Amino acid sequence: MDNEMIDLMAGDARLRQRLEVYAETRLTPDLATSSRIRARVLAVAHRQADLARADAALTVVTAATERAAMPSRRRRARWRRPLVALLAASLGVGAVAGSAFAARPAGSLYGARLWLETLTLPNDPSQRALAELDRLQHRLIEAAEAVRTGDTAGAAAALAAYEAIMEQASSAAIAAQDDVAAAVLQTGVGRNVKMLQALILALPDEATDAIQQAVQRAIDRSDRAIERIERGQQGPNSGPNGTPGGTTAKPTKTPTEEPTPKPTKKPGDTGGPPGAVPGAGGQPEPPTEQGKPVKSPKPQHGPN
Amino acid sequence: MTLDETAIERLVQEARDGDAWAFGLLFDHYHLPVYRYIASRVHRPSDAEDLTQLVFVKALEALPRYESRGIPFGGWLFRLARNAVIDHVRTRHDHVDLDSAVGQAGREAGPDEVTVTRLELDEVAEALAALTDEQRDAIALRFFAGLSAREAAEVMGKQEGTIRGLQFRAIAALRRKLGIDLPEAADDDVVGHAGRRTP
Repeated sequence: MDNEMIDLMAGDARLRQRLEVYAETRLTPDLATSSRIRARVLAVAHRQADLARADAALTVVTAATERAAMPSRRRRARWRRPLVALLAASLGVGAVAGSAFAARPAGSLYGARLWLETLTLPNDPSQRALAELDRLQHRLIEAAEAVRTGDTAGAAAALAAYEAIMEQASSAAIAAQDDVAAAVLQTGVGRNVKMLQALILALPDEATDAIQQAVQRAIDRSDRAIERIERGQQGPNSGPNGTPGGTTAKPTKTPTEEPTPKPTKKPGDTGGPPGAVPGAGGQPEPPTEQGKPVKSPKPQHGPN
Repeated sequence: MTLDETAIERLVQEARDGDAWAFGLLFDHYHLPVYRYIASRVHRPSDAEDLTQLVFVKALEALPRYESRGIPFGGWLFRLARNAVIDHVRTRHDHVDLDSAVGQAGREAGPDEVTVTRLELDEVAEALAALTDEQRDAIALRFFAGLSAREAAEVMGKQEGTIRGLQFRAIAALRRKLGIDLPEAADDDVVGHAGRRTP
């Protein structure tokens, strides 16, 4: 109670005392209650801080690699540009004759288009990982568009391309033993899994089993790729000079690391979206220890 | 824990920058008054616990958009708390009336209550329940949460003088209800204090 209030109630010690006793006994949380509230609130605070940190790290990596990519892209352009131009010209005949259609997923020029994309991939592992993520993202967009228009063959082709690119990208990242590339791929592919899970839930009822299986296969392949990259990082020869890699710059684990139920199209599905906050009544629960990044030690203060 | 305004502003800034530890200190500083305020406005201790948690989580989420603009962090936090209580009462039709006060009074007595006459506590609960919503809010913010009249006015969106009037009438009503008579001199004193402006 502040001085003003005490002043206000001057001469009324009895009322003041009764209100104080009431506040102490009926309105004051016990230690267990305070601790519970604190633990839940701080769990949310830590989770937010972790997410912000991961996003900031990814932004920094992206910006840095994009800056670094600029001069090397110009160098490569000297010999690659004519080559790409030549190839583009050779494909130009088809382009003129309606190649826009042919280059769509399942079109006759789709394979050629994918191959052309590989020609412009950077050599630097982390830049390459970012470029591969772009390609994966395009395949998902193509698949979603094909599903939307009922183009079963197109969706299957885009998803097959997604799987192939995923294989190449993860193999390249593991072979390069580059922590940044691995982190970029793990994070990006984790997001792709979410997109695929959303896609499988959004499939129209008339979507064929083949499409559902293709999407599920892409999810499985993504999960496996993440595991492979992680194993590759933890392998005995994954770090420079044979030292174990990823010990200091271990990337933030992607959401797929938490066991998420595979989405199905069945009504009444209880599998929540990945990253959903568990707990009754939407109240956040403390995060599991699994997948939590190592935090810098700071003193934790108890209630009061 | 005692923190001055400067320290609080610094912690708020750090918490806005994603420092969970800083937010923990803010929680430690504010959770008791916030809980007390909420507990005085809802029936059940479990509701008070849930709402206190909700207020701090909301604060955490809204922190990036928080700008001081003359409203200290504490006032902003209590505004969140008050809105949470209003929403709770509105959606659950949860009124602190006489029945609910009796219901709360009928809960299991805690160890602290062993030495205190339970009847007296029930009387206080009933007296508080008999106040108007605004009077109860003013008493809860001023007395249980320890806010100044200015802070309470900011939280309730009213003039400082209005808050003083509300608390004066609330105190008078509590006295009557609890059968506490004041000596004449003291009564004059209360009127005088309630009517004056803070420097």
